[in-house]
Amino acid sequence: MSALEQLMELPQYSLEAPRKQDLLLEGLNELTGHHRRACAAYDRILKVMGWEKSPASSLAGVPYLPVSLFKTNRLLSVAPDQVFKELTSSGTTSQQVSRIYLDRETARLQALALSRIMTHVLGPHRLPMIIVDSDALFQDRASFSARAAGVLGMMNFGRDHFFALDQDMNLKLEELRDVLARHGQAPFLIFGFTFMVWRYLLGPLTDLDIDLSQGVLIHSGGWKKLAEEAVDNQEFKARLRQVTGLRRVYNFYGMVEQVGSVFLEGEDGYLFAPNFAEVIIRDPRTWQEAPPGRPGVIQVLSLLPRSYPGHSLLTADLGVLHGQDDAPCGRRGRYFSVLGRVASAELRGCSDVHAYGAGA
Amino acid sequence: MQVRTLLPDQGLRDLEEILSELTSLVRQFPLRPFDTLVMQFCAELSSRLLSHPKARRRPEIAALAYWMRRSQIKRLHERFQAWNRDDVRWFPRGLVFHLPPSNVDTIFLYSWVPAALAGNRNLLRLSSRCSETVTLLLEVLAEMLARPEYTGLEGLICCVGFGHDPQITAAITERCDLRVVWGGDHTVAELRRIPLPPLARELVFPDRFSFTAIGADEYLEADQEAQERVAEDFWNDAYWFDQMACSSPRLIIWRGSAPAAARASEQFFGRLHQVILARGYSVDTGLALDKISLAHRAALDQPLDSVRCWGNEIMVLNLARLVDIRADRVGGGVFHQFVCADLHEILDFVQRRDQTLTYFGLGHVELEKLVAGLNGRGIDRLVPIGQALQFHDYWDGQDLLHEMLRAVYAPGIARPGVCGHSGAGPGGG
Repeated sequence: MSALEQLMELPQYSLEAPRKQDLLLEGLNELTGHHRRACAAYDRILKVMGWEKSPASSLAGVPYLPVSLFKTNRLLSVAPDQVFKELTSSGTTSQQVSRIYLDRETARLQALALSRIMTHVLGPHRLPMIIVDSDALFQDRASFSARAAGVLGMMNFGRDHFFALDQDMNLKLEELRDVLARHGQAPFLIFGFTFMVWRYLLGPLTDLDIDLSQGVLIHSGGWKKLAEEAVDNQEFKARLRQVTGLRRVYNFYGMVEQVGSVFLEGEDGYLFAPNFAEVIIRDPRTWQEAPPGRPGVIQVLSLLPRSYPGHSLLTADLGVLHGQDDAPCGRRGRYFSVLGRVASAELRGCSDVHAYGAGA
Repeated sequence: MQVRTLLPDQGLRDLEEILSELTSLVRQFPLRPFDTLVMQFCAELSSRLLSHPKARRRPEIAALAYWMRRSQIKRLHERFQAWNRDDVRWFPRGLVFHLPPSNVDTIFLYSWVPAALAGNRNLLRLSSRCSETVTLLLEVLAEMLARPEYTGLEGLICCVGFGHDPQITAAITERCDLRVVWGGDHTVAELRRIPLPPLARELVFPDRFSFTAIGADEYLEADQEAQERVAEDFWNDAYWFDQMACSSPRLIIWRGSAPAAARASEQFFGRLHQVILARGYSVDTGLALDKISLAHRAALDQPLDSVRCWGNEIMVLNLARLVDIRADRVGGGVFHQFVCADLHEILDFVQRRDQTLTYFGLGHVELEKLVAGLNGRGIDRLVPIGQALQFHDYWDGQDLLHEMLRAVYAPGIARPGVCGHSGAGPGGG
């Protein structure tokens, strides 16, 4: 069995960090070599940036790329005709989006990885599912957004899917009551983007008598918008519990640029890497590994990206490592928190840094 | 329509009223170029800023104040006097409309000073959100304008704050004689969509590119003190405004052999890094990540041999061939580097948008050859390292003072002070 297969099969979050990292290192070095051979652009980058040719002796020595590179350059480790799926990140029209190319095998592994992670908290059976979004999400096939892709991926873990919002983002309250009448007495799955759950589900349910206590909520999407309303993870969970009785709430952190890297929250509120991925926090002043407790830039590593050189990436997110193998919830491995996006650079200059027409 | 006024008073006023006032001042109360009162005002502004407890501590205000000091005003006056001949006289253009960039606070005064000295009345559009520096400058100006000895200078400097409003911009453009635009290619293009009246002119300052050329052997032969000075001077040139000013050097050309250049470069950046550490300059995480991203893009899109860093503050991208690397820019200390045996190798690279070449260790014959070879098709100024950001009335290939004036040709007028004959033609009359 390959390192990857082993790591997929073992129960998630069961490996002590040192052992896991040994297995990962072998696989990551193999991937570095593979991408050097298969992707001329990757090889060129490593050469120009001065990365050592010999295999890394620790995870921290594995070469990494900045995630932004996938917005500006096409990076492929398979022939173009092998590309089975193209993933894009969400982005406004003024921003470029990241483009990730998957072959059949990587796409299969991605689906498998997500399944291994989610079934850890959902159990092996598909649960009745409430989606905090509108099915209008899928109507525009031309621009299949990252949000739609996220929902579609999660729908594999549910059945009798119910889209709880209409196309104007209003809660379909009566239909929700029906769904809960049918499925609400046994475990069911709720999925949505963090801000949408807060604004379009919890908001309308306040002061109503809706019971979601059997539900398992999985959500993602970042806390930026909620931070504007002074709502953090603790407040989010407390209110959900208070208003709906919902107790099992799992946030996850992930990114389109590294498939399979879904860092799911434990019952203690910390984030954990699955067996086949790992996280490193780097001190932005020296780019060396930061010790637990010191915030830094998040780097993510994964054994999945084979069709594109995305196995070791420096994100634009800040995070902090809390410890390893001793998390309160009992999961093994490193555990961390995401602190938010790195603030974009504030620059001065006499040209179009603040271009005419872009604001006073 | 109403606009917010920032100088001389703060409030809300009807734009049409302001424009009528200004145009009637131009017609009925003309200011002569280098009017004594105007010169006095500028000189006093300079010394007030240099002694103002808050203002003088801001290096960009200190630099501005120093640039407009009395002796410099006198120099400009002397230049002007040389232009006035028997048959040609120079006068202000009338009303000048200035649109400075919103993020380099002191620029609005660099075009205002020559415009005011030339006798123009001036309307400046400032951002409605004033930075601390601008607020400070406006305070000093307002206080001076309110004093009785400066009556008669109404309209010399009138500042309004508005967002990017095409209607307001058009209304002012319609009445101006000269429009001065700072701000980059995009801004210039947007403003050019608001056409000038037929008799008005425009001065624009769009995107520029600047770089440095150093003689490798000359640098290696320089003593420690000289090398340290070069490092200090280059630090000043490159890191002010986070390397985002139009004159900030973004490329270093070593003229010499490859081994000499390699040694010189190593020493140069080593010393520069020392200066940076001593000054406590650091790039924030966002900028550090932007630089890393740029390096990766460049590795793929440009003919780079290698990337070398000194902390987060210095990133050097070594070019195997000198290609156009101007477009991708993030600031904060990113330098392309190239070695050539002779400066004529860079002639092809130079473009119209190249503004400032700073240098060290180059001979004057070599520089002359370069300037001649370029024949004006790029590089508007060549100055020693350390002077990149020093504003000068010759800017972007234009003589600013000259642009603020218009010529009247009248061979029949006698020189002032000579009585009697008019029509002094060849051979006298």
